[in-house]
Amino acid sequence: MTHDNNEPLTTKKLKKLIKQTKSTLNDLQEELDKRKMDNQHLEIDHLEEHMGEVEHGFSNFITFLKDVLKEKK
Amino acid sequence: MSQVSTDTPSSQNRLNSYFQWMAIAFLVYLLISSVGMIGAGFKGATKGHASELFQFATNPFMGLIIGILTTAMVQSSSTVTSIIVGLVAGGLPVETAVPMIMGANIGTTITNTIVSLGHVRRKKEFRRAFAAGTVHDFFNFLAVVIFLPLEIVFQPLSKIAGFLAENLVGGENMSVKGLNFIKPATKPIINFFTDISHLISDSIGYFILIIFGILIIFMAITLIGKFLKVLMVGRAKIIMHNAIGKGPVTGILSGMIITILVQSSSTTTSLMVPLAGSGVFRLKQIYPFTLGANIGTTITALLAATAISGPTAVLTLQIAVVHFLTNATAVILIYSVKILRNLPLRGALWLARLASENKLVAILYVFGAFFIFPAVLIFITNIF
Repeated sequence: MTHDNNEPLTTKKLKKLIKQTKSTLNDLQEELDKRKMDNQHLEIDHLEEHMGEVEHGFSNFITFLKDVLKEKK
Repeated sequence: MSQVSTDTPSSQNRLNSYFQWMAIAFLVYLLISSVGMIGAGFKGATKGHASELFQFATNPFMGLIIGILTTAMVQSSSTVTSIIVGLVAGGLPVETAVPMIMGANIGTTITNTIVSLGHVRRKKEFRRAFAAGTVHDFFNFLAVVIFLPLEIVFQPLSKIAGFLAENLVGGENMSVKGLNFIKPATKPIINFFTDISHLISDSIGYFILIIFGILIIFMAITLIGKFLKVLMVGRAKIIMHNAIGKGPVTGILSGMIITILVQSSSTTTSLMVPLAGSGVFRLKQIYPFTLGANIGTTITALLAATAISGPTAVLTLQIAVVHFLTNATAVILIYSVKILRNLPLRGALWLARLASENKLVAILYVFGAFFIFPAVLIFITNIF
């Protein structure tokens, strides 16, 4: 196996590269988890709107029925 | 001037919330009184032969179906369980009431399933929302499949609940031991409605009293829910923010506390639907909140049971404790056994996949599970 500049990749360099990659992966995973959690917090900030949505159960059902009937036609 | 403009809305808000809390206190008083009204009405109407009147429901499957159908129709398990507590106070045997309570657990799951139908326009979102709505259904179906046969054969829940109720209240002096202030507090309103009922018709006065009781329970629980939603949304937000990134136990506890705060498991479980539908929360993450809601909702029946004093008080507390034990042990048992824990998740995902491909499946499911299946069971039970 060779490196970018066609020099042979030593075991030491390979280990270093693995370590760096693992660390980068960890950082990326942490960033991904953080973004997911930020999105969840953001969604919870809209809880009042969701509470409103909960009130419209019956109209949801009617809309759903209309949609299905339209699709079947 | 600016001082006035900033202070006025906040003092108005404070005044509003003060009045809302006063209204809630009054509605709780009405709720407790109406449970007493149902008990008195049922006792008077059946003249001590309540068990004969409910002879048709001694078949546990019939009791289960009654619980499913009535709860699915009124979309409130709190209303139905409070009415059941009132009926037990009037002489309905506890063993007949237990399957009804279990049926109420199934019937209540229709609400969040219907809420999930609102996401129909976007296929992926609908699939996620429908799974979030039906995971509660599958869990409660599974709980009944496990606990109803056990209860029919060994009555473990009724026995434990009976033991706890005896020790909590005991003797003839009901409410909570040595603290029997409920009866004198609710007596004036029960007497008032009893007089009105007999003025309307002396021959069916007690039946009218039962109807008054049911209507007041329904109104009180609906209004309490509406007020609490407004007053508690801030606290619910804080609880949910704090639960993010924590384990399932925190999720269960959070779902339980939110349900106690808003006095409605349907509200908590329905709130999970848009959160899952958006894709921000995974089904696995909202599942524990749903289970917590199942435990939190049992507080209403316990509250309703405090309305009853006298010889039937132990029994009313017993049925309320049965509700709590059923839901709490179902969560502990099913969630702690991996194979059982995953069944509702798999069932919900499977059904959601089918429903997102063919929306007729969703309609068939709603009508089939909550109305047609119970009706077929009634038919079969009547034949055999």
